[in-house]
Amino acid sequence: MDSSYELLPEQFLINPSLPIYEQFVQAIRERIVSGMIPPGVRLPSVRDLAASRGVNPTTAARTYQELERMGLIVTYRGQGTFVTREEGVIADARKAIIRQAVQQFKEIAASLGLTAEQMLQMNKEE
Amino acid sequence: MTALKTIVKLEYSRYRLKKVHELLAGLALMAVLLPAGLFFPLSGITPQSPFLTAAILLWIIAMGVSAIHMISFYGQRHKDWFLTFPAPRLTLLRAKAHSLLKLCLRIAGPVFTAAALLYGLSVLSGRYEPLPAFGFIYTLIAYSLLILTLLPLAIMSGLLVSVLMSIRSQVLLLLLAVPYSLLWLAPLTAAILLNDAATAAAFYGSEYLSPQYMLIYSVILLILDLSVYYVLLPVIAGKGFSMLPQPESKPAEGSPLHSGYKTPRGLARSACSTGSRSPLLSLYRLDASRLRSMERHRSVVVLKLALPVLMAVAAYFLTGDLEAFLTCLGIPFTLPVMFGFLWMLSRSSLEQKQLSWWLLFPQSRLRLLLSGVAAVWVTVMRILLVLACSMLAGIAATQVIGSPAPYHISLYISWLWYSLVVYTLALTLGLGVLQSIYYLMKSKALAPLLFVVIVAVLLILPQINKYLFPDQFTVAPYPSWSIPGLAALIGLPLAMCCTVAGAKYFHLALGTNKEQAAKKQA
Amino acid sequence: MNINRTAQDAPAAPAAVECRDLRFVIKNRVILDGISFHIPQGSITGLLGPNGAGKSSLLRIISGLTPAGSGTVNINGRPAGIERLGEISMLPDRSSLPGWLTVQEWLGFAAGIYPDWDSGKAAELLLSLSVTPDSLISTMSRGEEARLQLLTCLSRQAALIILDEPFTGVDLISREVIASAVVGEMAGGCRTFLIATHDIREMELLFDRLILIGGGRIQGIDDVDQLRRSGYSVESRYREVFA
Repeated sequence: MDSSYELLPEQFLINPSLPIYEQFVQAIRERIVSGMIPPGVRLPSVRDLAASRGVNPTTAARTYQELERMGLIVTYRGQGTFVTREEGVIADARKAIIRQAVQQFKEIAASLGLTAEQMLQMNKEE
Repeated sequence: MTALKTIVKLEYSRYRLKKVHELLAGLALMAVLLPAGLFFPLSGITPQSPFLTAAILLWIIAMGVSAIHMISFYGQRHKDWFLTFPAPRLTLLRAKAHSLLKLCLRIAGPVFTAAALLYGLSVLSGRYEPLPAFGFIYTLIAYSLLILTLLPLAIMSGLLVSVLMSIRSQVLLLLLAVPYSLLWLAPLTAAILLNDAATAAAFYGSEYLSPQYMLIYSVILLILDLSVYYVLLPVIAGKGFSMLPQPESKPAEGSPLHSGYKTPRGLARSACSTGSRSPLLSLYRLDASRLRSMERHRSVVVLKLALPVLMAVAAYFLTGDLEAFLTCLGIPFTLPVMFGFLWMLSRSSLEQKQLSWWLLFPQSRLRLLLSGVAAVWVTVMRILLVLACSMLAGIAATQVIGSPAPYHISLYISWLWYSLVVYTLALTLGLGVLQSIYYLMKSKALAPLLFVVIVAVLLILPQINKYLFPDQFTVAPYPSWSIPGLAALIGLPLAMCCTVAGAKYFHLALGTNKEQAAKKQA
Repeated sequence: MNINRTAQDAPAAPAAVECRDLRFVIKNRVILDGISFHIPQGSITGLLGPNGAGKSSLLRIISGLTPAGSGTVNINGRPAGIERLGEISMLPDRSSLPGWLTVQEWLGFAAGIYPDWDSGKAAELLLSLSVTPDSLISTMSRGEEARLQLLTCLSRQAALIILDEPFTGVDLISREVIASAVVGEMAGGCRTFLIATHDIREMELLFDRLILIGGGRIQGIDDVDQLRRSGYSVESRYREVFA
């Protein structure tokens, strides 16, 4: 049942100039929040993740550490790593993504000398 | 299984042949040796002579095979893998020695059988009285023991070449190269000398060659084998392998299989150094660059240093005895010419990788072929000239030091000049005639002729010594120019025709070698 | 499993490779000079540099095939040399396995030659690297032979694996297969890889450390994560150093 869910999109472009585990964490978090990887699904081992993406195993291990720190995945000794079933954690992550997106949006607006509301307003008028 | 056993098996596995092929090869070897034995006097003198000849032959083969194995190992693509095996270097070397011994024993089988058959044939044809049954068995056992104890020594002497090649100091190299060259030149010289009936009779008649003495020699050889195995092999393993990974001995260095790396440099040099755009000259330089790169090989350097000295010394001592001088004169000239022929023959298989490039050059096939011939010709001629000059120096030295000569010194010089001309002629004719093999590859029906041409060319050389250099003089001890003159008159046009005919079918060298390669792999 | 335990038992393990002030001269030509670095156990280190930088010489010295002129090299805390060959699994540059054997025969020999040979692993890798067991080595394609060579290296239990240009003349798919096999072997965390290569794009995601070498000298030693944090990729760093 676990193999039907891809941890990362098949065509996942890695930017070699940024820390790779951060890119992985971000992408996987988005897929968990959006429900593409449902709660309770078992994740591939660190080794499989690294081998399938051709990255250093430390990168894969750090990705899991980071996601675990966020509470999005849980490791049961001897059984493997699973997506959390705690709705609250996933909801928190969702809020975090929203906050991040809004923050970025505001930054772009500010760089154009506008507020976020003004940007949205202008988009409607067009 | 111990690591040594495994590596021996691995080393030995490269000499695998199918049962049928093995049998055929053995029969072919005997088919060549038997007529040769009947034809040349050196094995028909006494009942023991076939076996002693076999021993000499096996010494040359064993030492040659192992020296070539060691030298070519530097250029093998699997070298680095072998060197990274987690085993002491001594184990690697012993594995080589053991597997070579197994190989040589395999060769010794048919050679010894051929000797026994030759003995039988000689008895039947009444060359000598048969030995009594006991004496025959005694001889067989004594000589098998001799060969058995001789082979390890020959093989280890062959492997020793790697130590010579690791020596950096030129002086030391020269000092060691001379005795080392004697190790393999001695039996070779013996074989050529014994071709002369009178010498052979004196030699084989000697009581020191009786089976009793052979048993004593075997015991001595056995002691030598053991001491060399335990004392010398560790030295070879230490010195001989240590030089291997140095970049200067990296694959490209002179190994025929890899001089592909060298060729571009040769090209660049010929393109830059001369403004001339003559394609033939460029082709020649390209072909010659491969032989030049071989000359830089340390084993060749060793020879280059050792041979002239040996030749000068030999000439010095032989001047004064005209008959001995004439008997020996052919030896130094035969070997380089033989090398030229063998190189020409193996060229297409050695250069298989580059050959398709050669054939793609927008030049006529005749030019391609001629440039290749010219490269070999010039190389061999350089060797012949150096040898002749060092012999001349030896002859001149007798005048300076003043040893009495029964004939005037000009006589020796004229014979030297004569043999230089004769061997040059033989080289030219032989190389030309050999080009016809490409034509003969045209169809399967012509294939047997191919074999005949090769054997004929290779057999020219011993004949020269026999017919052009008389044993005794009846009228005047001066060389006769009529035979070589006639040979040139008939031979040169023939060689030209052969080259032109071969050039047309040069491209066949590509195809047949693939078949051969496939056969080898099968 | 076996391997895991050894790694945990020795937490303060010595560096897999340690070079101090290495110098190597051939015929008055300085090949390597002032080379000092160390490679911690369990890392994948990329040895990068232009042609003729001295990479192969360095790897030969580390493996013990060539004695260093001066300076020291330690493998797992002990001086490098022929005696260490059992601890190092090396894939030599531009080298071939004995071409007259079939894959199966070679693996049979390898099992006898390498004391740390793991036949189970070899069988597993035959499948994952898709090497045909009964083909003759001399007739294999370059990619397939490269995979067989890697298979030979990885089927040993030696903790230090040195690959000298494992990708020369190898097709894209084989390169990916090789890279992913390397990662698969790593995940135990106790094998150390030192890889010299020109295929930076294929390999850059694999490396966690870089040793940049040019003109016989170390031009830089980088932690790849650190590089990425400061906005460099392995490739851009390489260009910065050597262009």
